[in-house]
Amino acid sequence: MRSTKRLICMLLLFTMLVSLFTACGSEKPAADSTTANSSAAANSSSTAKPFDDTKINFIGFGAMWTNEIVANLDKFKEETGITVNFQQLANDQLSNKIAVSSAAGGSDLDVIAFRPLQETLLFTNNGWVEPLDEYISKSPDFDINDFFESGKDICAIDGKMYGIPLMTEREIVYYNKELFAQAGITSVPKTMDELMEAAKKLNNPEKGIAGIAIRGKGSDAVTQFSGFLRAFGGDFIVDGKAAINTPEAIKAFQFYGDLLKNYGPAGVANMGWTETQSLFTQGKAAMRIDADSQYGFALDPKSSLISDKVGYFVLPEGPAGAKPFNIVAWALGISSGSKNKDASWEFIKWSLGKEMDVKTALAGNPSTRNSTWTNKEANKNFPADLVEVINQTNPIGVGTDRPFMINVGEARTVIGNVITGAILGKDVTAMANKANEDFQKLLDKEAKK
Amino acid sequence: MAKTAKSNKITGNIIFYLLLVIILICATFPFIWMVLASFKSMVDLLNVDKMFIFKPTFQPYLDVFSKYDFLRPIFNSLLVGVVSTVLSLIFGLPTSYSIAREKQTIFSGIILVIRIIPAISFLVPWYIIFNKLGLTGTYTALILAHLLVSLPLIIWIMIPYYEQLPKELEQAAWVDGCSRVGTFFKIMLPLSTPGILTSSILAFIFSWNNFIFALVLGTNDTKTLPTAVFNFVSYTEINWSSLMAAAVLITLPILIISLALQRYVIAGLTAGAVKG
Repeated sequence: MRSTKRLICMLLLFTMLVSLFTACGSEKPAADSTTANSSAAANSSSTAKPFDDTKINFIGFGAMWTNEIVANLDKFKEETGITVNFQQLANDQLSNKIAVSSAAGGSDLDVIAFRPLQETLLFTNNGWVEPLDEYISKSPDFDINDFFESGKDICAIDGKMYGIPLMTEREIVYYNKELFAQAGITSVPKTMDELMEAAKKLNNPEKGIAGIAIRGKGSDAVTQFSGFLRAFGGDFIVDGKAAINTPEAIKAFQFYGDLLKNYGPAGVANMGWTETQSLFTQGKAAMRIDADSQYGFALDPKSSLISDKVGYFVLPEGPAGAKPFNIVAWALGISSGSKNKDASWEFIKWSLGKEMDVKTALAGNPSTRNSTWTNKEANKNFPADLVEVINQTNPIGVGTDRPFMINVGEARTVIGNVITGAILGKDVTAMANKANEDFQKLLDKEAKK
Repeated sequence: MAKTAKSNKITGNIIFYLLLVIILICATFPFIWMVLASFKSMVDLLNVDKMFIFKPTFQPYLDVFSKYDFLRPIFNSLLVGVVSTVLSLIFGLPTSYSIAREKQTIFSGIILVIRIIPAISFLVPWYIIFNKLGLTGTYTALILAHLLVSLPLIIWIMIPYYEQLPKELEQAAWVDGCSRVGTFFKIMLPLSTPGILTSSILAFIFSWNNFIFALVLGTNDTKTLPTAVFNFVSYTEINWSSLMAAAVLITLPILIISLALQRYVIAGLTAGAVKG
């Protein structure tokens, strides 16, 4: 019996070691395959019809943009001969799949969609995405200067572009016009104090209507909280140091917590964007703060009871002004392990080129190109009052909505704890001090690398 | 005296059934909600007032097949599930027979280790190996990955099964001139049919539900049902109605199999549980 036990232990150890070694050995083949790729690419580009019968894998997320692109893939094949194999995943699954595949060489990935604020640093640090400058300079028609400057900045590391911005989003306030009229509010809140006041007036627990609904669930809430944090004069990181326990930050936590604790829906501390969206579209929340890219759901009578009552306004200003985020939510990049880099670029050039960009804008995608936003025809499907709010938000918008770092996931959890704690009425100062320590540790860990 | 015993029994019964109903409601509520939701439009689904009373619509089910092409993943799941289960049986049954009869504890130990290690830790090595063999994104890769889990499962369910079958049956066959292989096929296999059924149902259910292997090793052409569900989750909205319709479609086969073959599933779960 004892020998069997020992045997099992030995075997267990052996199996673990084997998988460890196999995992470590992955770096080399990745390097080999890159050199092989570039020569293959050079060969293919010299022939007359370079992309006939080429197949590329594109993994991305689901959105109005993706639907429109997928619907036009046949045309793309006609023009270039490239067959695009699209796989749709949700945010975290997408990130995981890219990580596992890339760690093993990434040869089965070609075009990848990623969230620049969440993943650029991680992907470039590990060499998982290809620098695109060479391709961009070869394609003058693509007109890279047409993209928003802030969008390009966030996709670039050390002066090299690793992604092409695909979709922007801004933090705005959605509101229910009918409930505003019933409460006798004639003008939309312009300051944070007015916002609190309005939420108080609109809050009607007996009828099950909350004054305001914003994300309250830890790490999810961080992005929406950023607008409040900055409006009160704080930020996540100041001069490279964690700054979430400054007096400004604590005021912001307190305000966000009080707002949702007193006038938010029941159970708001567990809510993410889907829950607040449902409440708002069901007429159970008078105001909702989140990204403008989600406007479609509230306007569709198939999913919304208030489709004809939706209004929008710019995030109100705090002591330090109005500071909503204006970010690039998604970008397209090319996997370093790809065997079809030229064909992949061809796809990016087409899907984010001026012509398709107008088409995707018509389908409801908030574009990242100046030319599309100034094109009245391209924006005709956006609600006019939303475009107005977007144009007001664009110049004041801040380019990040979360701490820009590699380990942003853990940082969001740390900061999110304080937000949830504030909503639940815990001691904000103590929590913020503790969180600031943990947050600083995360930053230190990255500085060492 | 007799009367109190009887009334005691009645109160006991009432408590028993009351508890049963409470547990049943708790256990089946998510399923009931899922089925109800799959017949609702998005507006009704999010509306708490229309929990039970609503105008049913088949639109979510139509969407599942027209807007999202759900047939392919159904086919993929069936193919991967059936092939990996059949292969596991072909490799697993002789293995468990020989382990049971020849007391090959070393082999069974190795297999147990494979079963104990979380399957996810194999994922990256597997991915690298498949990548080098050019197998990523193929059915072969998925089937091999599923074998890794279903094979040990089948072997470990079948070992006690073969152990409890009397040796005398085989010996009688040998006396009559049957070969060892012959006895396995002619005597042992037919006798172990219930065990085979049990283990293959469990292996199939595992394969049907598996998410992580299909996520990493599959592509768009080979994606199985659990990963296809993510088609309904987009960045700006979630199509709950169709998501629930898809969930019903995915759960249905497993539900039918489990109900129809309940006896075997339970037998499999308790096989060898009280062996001295």
